Amino acid sequence: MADRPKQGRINLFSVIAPVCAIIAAAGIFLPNLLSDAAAWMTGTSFRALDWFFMATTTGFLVLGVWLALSRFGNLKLGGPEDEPEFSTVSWLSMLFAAGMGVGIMFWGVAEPLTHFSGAPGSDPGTVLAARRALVITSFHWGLHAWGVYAIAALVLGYFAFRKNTPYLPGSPIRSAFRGRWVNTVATVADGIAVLAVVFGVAGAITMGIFQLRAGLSVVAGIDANSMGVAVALLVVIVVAYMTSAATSLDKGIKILSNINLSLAILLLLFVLLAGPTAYLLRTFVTSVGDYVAGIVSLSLRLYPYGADHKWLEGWTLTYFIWWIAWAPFVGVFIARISKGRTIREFVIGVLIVPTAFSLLWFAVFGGVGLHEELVGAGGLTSIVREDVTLALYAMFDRLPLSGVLGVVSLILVFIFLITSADSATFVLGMLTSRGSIDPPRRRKLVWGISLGLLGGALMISGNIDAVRAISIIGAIPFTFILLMHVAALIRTLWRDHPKEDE
Amino acid sequence: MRRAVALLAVVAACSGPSEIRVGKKAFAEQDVLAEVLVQVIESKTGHSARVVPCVDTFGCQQALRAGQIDVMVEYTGTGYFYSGIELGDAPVTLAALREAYKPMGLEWLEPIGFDNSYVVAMPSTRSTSASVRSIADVQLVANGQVRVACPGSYLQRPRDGLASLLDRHGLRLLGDPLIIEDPSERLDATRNGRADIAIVYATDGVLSGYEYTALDDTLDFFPPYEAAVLARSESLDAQSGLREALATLANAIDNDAMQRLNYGVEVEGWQPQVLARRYLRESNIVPRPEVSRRKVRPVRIAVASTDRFDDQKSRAARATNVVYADRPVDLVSVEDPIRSVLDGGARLALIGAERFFFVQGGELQRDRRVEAVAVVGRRALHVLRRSGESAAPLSGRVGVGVSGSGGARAASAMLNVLGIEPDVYTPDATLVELVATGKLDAAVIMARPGDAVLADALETGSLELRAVPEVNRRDLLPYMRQVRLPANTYPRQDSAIDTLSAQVLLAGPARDSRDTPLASGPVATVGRKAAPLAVSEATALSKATGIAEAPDPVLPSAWTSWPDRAEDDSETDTAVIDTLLNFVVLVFLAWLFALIVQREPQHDDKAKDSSR
Repeated sequence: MADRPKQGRINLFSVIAPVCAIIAAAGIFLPNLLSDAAAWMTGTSFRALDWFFMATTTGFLVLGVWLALSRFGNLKLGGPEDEPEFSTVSWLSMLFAAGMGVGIMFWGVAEPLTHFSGAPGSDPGTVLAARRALVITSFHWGLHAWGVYAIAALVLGYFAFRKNTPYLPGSPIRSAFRGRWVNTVATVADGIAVLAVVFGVAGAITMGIFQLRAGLSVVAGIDANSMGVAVALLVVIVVAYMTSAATSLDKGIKILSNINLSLAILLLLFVLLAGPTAYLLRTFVTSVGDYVAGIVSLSLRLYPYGADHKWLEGWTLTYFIWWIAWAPFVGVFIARISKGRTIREFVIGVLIVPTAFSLLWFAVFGGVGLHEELVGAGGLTSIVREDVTLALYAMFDRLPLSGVLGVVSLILVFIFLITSADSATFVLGMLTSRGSIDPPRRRKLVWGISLGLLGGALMISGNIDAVRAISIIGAIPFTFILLMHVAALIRTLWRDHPKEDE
Repeated sequence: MRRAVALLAVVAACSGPSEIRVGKKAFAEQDVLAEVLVQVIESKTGHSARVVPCVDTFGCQQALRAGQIDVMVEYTGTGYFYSGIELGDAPVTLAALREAYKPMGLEWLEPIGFDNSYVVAMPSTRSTSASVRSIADVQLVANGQVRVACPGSYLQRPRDGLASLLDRHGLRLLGDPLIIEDPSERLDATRNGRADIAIVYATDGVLSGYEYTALDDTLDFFPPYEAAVLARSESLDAQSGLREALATLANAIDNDAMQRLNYGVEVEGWQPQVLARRYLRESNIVPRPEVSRRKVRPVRIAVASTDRFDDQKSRAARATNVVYADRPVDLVSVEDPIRSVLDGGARLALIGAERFFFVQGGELQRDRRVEAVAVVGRRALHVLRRSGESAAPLSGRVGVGVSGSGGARAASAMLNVLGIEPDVYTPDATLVELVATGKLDAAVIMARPGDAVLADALETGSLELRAVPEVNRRDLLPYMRQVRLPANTYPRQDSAIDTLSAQVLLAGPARDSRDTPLASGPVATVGRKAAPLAVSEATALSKATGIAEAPDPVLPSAWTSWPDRAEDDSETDTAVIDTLLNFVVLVFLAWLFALIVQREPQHDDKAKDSSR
């Protein structure tokens, strides 16, 4: 069993290293070319294959739910004697930190308000638009995102822990299918996964630093375009996640994630209590109701008959493609920390709990914003249009202790960034050490430095569009790999656990 | 038990009819003062307060007596004339008024600290040349016949109004009085000779920027107009803490401060409540809450420091304030307003149409990074020469506005079409001087028709306006429109003058291809700056400017780009690609299905062995 991946890995690197270098070089030296190419690629796919991406993402969610409810739900990711490595709370905070990250901070107020001022299905600025705004936001950050992660992680975990295959995205393909094509396709899958993780995370680090800098410019008044500040932040972040990476998974990432989630919960509670509490809770309950009631039509609606299709591409499909872009990294990571849990437990943990938290988060943050617009002093919607980063701080300004809130939000962004980068080095270490479950420290450090360098180079090239392009470059091919994973899982489950066995 | 008592106390405190109604008359100063009262009452008494607009002084006095409002700010002179009381020869003082108002159940509190008296104003140039120093002197001008510019309410006032003023000073009205509500336009009217005197308030904000002579009231025609809170005694007694709260306003606002506040509303377009709050906090009348630093971020309008827009600036600010009613408006002076809009330094730019164009490689190019949103006004080219010259209008040494200004850009573009290079770039006021002193032969100045600098320059008679020569290459000046300035737009301008004019506009970030899928998504908050104005914002702004005209279609504008541009991809190509992609995906899905259900008996055993 061990010889195939070894062979695959060697092929993998002779192919993937130059590809990485070429794309990185393109991102740094020809940023416009790269961003145009990526925009064309995603634009064309969204235009022609919107139904495919929508159906795929929704399909993952349905599959996850079905697996949890079916007889397979009792299967454990691991041997019968395996017990969960992390406590449920730590497990949840780790997967949430890896999966959502910085975006939830800055979009918390901004996204509901953006939809409030114009989204399909309601007139801008109305009460109906406010309800609709939270439903759409929940839809973008809720079950579908976690459905993608859950499936990506579940397939890997199932094969790695039950079939003892190496911890590589190609393994499920190698394990489930037979044929001359299998090894090639599996190797390509490994390569694309590494590519997607490297660029996805390097891009995320770069954009995270830009976001941190934008936040700092609001809170502390530093120059929002200063490269010096960005480089200093990069150095601090690299040092921080390298320190964390030098420790074990148990110490570094776990502790960081726990701090992160505690801080996020504290911030959430403060905003909930300092804001119009009853109103926010009403908002939450209503948005959960609207979300649950509307999820079927939202999940399958492509607006084929009107002008709203552009909106769909710009928001919903873009969100989905970002979640898929991060799936190789988040999926591998979640799978790694979920050993010893049953499929049912896993699906509930990955789908329901983070979604519930996201819904509450957006109901509270977005709710404060909507409250300001509908009954308060207003003035936030136009700020969102002016500058999204500002929106969060403009909302804090309406609450007591806004200065403290600003600082806390920056600390949160900072820890989110470190946690993501740390888990990414961990994942890359696993992928490149023949799928070992505990990669050697030296390999993690090498990846950590490479990510830092790549992030720095992208940052200095300074083209945001190119950074975005590079981040989602692996997403579209990875969609197909995910689908093959699903096929591999279903085939293997049916074969290994036929109905009459139960 | 204790809790129940506390709860009862809270319920009792909340249930009283404690809303205090603050009356105001319909002008800027009263808007601010009403807000000042509301905020002082709300912060110091815990009662809620509400502004109730009354039509005019009559309306306010009646509402006050009838108990429809509780408090307002009144002026002693007005309070005297409108109350129907007679003080005889006694001077109009607060003490006297207080006594006289007592029977009506109304109470004058301590003076607020400023005196908003009526001012009879004349442009300084005219008052000195005609040696008019007092209102009584006006009789000397044109045999006691005067043309007057005043606000509409001034006609109505029975004792200190226009009729009384004229009668008392032996004046007769020449033609109908010019009813102009905007004080700056009233002064403009006297400046360009449409009126001889203007009636303004001493605290009018815009006056600080004008040179005018306040004529002395040698006959003591006007009483003092000290501002003070006038309140119903009943309300003062019934509402706990109200009297004490209002007492903090004694001597709180002096004339300069009031004028600044009025300037903020009239010219800078601030919301009265914002200004009131700021002032009360700065002067420590209402304690500053901890987090007021960035409570509401202003909407910034960038204006080039080199551009001269004068009242168009306040029009733009006011319109913006109407649309973004929930945020204050800041006019910021920058080097390049378009740059400022693009990098998020300002939301809007106030620019002339000429700034949308630049010359590159000998070709005129449109700047598509920004788009016109609303029209604020027009500016026209003015060719200024010494009077009585027979030379061609643009012969000799020609000067244009300061380098980098829109005016200089438009003027030199026009000159270039005629094959002329400007010799001097300098501010408009200097241009006037250089032409007057003979150091320049002609100046081309971009300004709104009736502009004050030009009016002053032409007043003397040594300079005159000339027509802009016929320009053949209109394609090089697409943003210009031929106009004819009517006679008497300026003093001593006897005939109409042909020239070119261009729009002055508010511009915002342009709609572009930023809606590509890449620009959105969970991490897309970075760089999501300067989104184009929503269609609703643009429409509202263009309504709020009060100028119905749409931006010239030659300009990139929010108007011409709606609805979203039709997809211009060549249909067949994309159709083929789309169909191919869909085909590939369908084949892939079919293959996946086949993989799932496919039987491979020879491998099944092996696989079973390895599985646990």
